[in-house]
Amino acid sequence: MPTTGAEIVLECLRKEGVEIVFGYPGGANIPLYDALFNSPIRHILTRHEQGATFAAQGYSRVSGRHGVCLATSGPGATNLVTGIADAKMDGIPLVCITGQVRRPVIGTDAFQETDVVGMTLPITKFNCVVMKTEELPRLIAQSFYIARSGRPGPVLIDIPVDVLKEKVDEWEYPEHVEVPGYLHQSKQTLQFDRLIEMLQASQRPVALVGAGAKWSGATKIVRELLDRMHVPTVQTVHGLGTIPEERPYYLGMVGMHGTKQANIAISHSDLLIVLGARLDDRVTGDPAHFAKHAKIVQFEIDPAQLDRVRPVELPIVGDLKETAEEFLSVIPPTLKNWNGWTEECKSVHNPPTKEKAGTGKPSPTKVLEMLFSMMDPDALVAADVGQHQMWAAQRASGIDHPRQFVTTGGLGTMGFALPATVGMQLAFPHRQVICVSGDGGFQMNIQELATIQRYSLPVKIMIIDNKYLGMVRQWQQLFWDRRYSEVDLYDNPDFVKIAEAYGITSKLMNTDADMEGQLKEFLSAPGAAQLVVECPAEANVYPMVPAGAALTDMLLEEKI
Amino acid sequence: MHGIAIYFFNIPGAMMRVLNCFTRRGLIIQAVWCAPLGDRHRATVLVEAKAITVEQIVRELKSTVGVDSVQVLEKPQAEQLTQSHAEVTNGTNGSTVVKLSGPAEENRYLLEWLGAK
Repeated sequence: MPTTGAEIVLECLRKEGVEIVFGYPGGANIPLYDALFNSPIRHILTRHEQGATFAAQGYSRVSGRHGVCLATSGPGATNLVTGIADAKMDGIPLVCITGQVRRPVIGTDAFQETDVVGMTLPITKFNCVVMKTEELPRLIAQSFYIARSGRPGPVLIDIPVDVLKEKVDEWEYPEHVEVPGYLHQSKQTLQFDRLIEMLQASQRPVALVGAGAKWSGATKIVRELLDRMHVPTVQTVHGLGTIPEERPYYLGMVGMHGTKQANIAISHSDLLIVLGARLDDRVTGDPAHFAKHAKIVQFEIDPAQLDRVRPVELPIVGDLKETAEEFLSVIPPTLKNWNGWTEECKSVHNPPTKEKAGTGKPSPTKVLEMLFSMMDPDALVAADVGQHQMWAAQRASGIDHPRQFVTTGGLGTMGFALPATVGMQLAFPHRQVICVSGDGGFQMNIQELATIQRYSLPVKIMIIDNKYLGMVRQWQQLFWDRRYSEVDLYDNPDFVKIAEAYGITSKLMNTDADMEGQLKEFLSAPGAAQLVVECPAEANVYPMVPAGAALTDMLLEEKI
Repeated sequence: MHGIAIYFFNIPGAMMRVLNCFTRRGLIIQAVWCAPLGDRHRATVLVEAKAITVEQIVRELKSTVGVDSVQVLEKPQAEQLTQSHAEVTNGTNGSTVVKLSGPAEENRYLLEWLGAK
């Protein structure tokens, strides 16, 4: 029976195991939405295409599966761009399917035509315009394969509306996918003998765990490996949860707002073993001073990530699950003991959070501390971007599962968290899902409250409201002589009334009295709920490594 | 001047991705030759860049979808390519004379396309 291009697309998605897609219809993808009308694939209508990309990312980040989003041509497609760039930076398998104007008018600046393939070329792993309907199955299969293999990342398939409408008599989905010139590099000889020599010679080894552990499904093996090596271990913001807090060798999050123990340990190490992290500048600080005395061994799936910050003495290129397993199998029983070094690292004093007392307002760090201790043990938390993100990440340092805390790390996109929780809740309908946002970022995708309400998603939304673009204000305070330029959000709308207008229960926490009671009520609300936490305006995130400074040059606490 | 030869499969967007590895760093591509070479394509790019940047580009190219292999040309070879040019003149008897210099493989393809043996 003849099948339309649109029906082929949906059948291909079904073959890939896609159950949910996020999107927004328009003129150039109407045939796809027409086919969706009778499809078992569930479509979630977000209120902005950027919301669809982040919802799809939220779904992917917590489930490990592909996130799929749909948009029409022109503005629909351009609205995807930020979400795609975000997925590229953090290595998220996002599949975007855009409608395009019909083939005969491509290149004529037709209504709602834009060169989305040209536009997204640098921020996708792969993208294409499908010019022949019969090529849809192959290109979709290749796109899905590319998105999830190697270092995951976004792909975009742009489909002209007449391709979506065109019928073909026969087609089949490829059973095996091959992409010429992809993942073809011959496997190097892994130099584990050398690594063991380096390890045995080391006095002060440190392990650094990143997102690669969860994306390669290596959480278990990385835990086993580190339990065996028992070396001081730190994690990046995307690695959090790989190593649970109770491990005696765990020192916390590393980097700009990492713990003093973690940053000092890295700085004094003589061997740094990097497990699935790309050594982003927020992790390293000044590269010239990063792990200055250490030889670096980097377990990495993507060769492009090697030697970017500083030379790596020993690259171990491959899938972390396989390489870590292989390494664990060859570690000799007589491995050195670094307990003394671990104790030394742990003896570094992590200064407690110090804030101005007597403001009467709820402290953001205390609220988040309480949130993380009162939420369900398997709750999923999304943090937006800014001060609250780092306060939340510092509290999330002790979570037990690597997909429990999600945030936008590489691109740092404000407006990420609220739509991300849409996808997270749909991936796990029975788990508690919490959005932690700031008053700035919340307003960047505020329209997704409608999506939460429409699908009765019981998301718990906490807004840390300090009426500032807090992180920029903090930088202006500390490094720009307190010249607060355009960061004051004194005229924020009434967030409680806004949520209520969307049909979502909302409460205001504006004093530090009975914080526990209010949080309890918030977390136990039966459906979606919002809690607006009005915090002191000028609370800062510490520790902080100033941009471009060495990890040892931490600002540790507020001068009160 | 650095010369880099990139062997890639001509899948959608591959050539643009190759060139984007240079342009995203603000580099100006001085010259690029590209032609099919068996089942792959070869692009030879001439660019002025720091050695460390070239190393980064090579690593990025190697993990770009579609790229098969990358070869950094020897300095003299790259320098020689900077002298490359194509010159077309009309002969007195109505013939056209094409003088080419540049990477041999790409030129061979062009000559074959022009019907030369």
